[in-house]
Amino acid sequence: MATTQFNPAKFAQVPPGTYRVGKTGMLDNPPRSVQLVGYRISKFDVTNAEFRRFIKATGYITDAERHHDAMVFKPGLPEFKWLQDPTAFWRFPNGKKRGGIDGKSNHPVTSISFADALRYCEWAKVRLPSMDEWEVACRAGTKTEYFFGDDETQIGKYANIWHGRDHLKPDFSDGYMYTSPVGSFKPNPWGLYDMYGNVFQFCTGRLPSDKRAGSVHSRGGSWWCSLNACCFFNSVDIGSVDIHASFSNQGFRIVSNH
Amino acid sequence: MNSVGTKSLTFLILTACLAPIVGAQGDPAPISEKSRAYHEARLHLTEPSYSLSRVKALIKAIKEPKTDSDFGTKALDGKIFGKLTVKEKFTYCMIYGENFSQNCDGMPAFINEETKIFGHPSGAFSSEEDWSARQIKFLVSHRATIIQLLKETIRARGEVGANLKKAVLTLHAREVIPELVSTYKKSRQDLEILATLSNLMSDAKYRPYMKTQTYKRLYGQKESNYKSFVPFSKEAEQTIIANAESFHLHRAR
Repeated sequence: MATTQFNPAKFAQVPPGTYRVGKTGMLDNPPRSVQLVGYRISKFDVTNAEFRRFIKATGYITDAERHHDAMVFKPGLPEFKWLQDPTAFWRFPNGKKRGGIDGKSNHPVTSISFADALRYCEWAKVRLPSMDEWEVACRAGTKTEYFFGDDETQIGKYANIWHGRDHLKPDFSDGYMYTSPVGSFKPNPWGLYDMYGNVFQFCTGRLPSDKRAGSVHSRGGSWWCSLNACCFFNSVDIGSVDIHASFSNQGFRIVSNH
Repeated sequence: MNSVGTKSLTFLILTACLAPIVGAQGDPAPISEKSRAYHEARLHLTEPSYSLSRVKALIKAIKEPKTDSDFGTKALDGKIFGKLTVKEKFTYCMIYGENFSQNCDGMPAFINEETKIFGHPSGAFSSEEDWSARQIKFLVSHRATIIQLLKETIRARGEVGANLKKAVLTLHAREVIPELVSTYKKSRQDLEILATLSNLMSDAKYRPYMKTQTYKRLYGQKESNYKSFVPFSKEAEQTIIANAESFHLHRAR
């Protein structure tokens, strides 16, 4: 049974209504109107401390712990290359030799899979946002590619991202190479933090281009993402990942039906 | 009792993934079927012929877990992998990635992709898989043989799938340039071949190509990234092919 208690202060209320989402030119996220019932979306990503409570209460063993197949990053890798590290899981997001989460209770939990996130949600009696719900909450009423406008050079104020031209050298230019504590950067107009950067956020739903049953999606970019690589830290891009894949730039936020 | 383990994961997944499709309404966007087809063609894999049936059977066995705890096991058993011939390993690598790839590895699909020359070809394996260190080590350590097999496969199949392009770039295989160019010229439809040629030269920092406007627009700007493209034009096509042919001859000398 979930031990978490619903705390309204940690959620933003999105009122029911018809909202515009999508972007001209995108096949999987074309401009359109979506009708949503009201929902409460968490202002912060789920943290290591919150995930720890779930593990303690349930004894759940994550995908990465069972299969020793988490994907980790270290500087020096070619663009988009990650390493499989059998020692990595949520307590050691980039493998044991790169340190654990001691002192990082308020960082987003990572190196968990979509399947793990679903188990957490079931326990906590919450759910993941749908892709449309995520985008509406992220846009916060804006129509631009970013909730702060179209000037991508402003992204550093709002997001923990990778500022290097490539990933060959460490990048601490914004204070963090990997994750940052949740809420370290400026929020969007509705008070949601880390909608861009820090960790990709799992969302539910399917895309027209999905071919595999095991394809799932997440949004918002991550600490790994840079202007010169994927540039996914925006309101419109949608990525795909295997349902059992665990990456150290992958996390989630939740929606409450309270 | 562990409440988390009591509900079928399959049920959770179906509930989570299917329910939120509702909501879209009105003003359907002008979806281009041609663009959709081209995007799928960008992801198409070319299957080598070497022991294809046997290798597919081995992969099928990996993909069909006997228990829930088998989920996530993606690599062929080490002993079985070790006993495969080089050609069989080549086929295995070309049609299967043992590792996961990250969420943003596959670029989004755009309208009018068929009119764009990207700086980087699309990823292989449905954008959710990637080669493992073991697979890359095999390909690199058998470079000369793999390049021969790539050439044979391109000639035999008359196409260059996303997997073969990925192998060409992984091996920096400028030796395959003649096969890439001749395959492109057959239909001039697969602009991903031009992307591969361009990427090969970019990775090698081939100076004559780096001086072109095409290079500068694809890689040389402050905001250049993996979504960067130039609109298809005869001039861009000619720039890439002519430089690639020179690059091949230059390096072959």
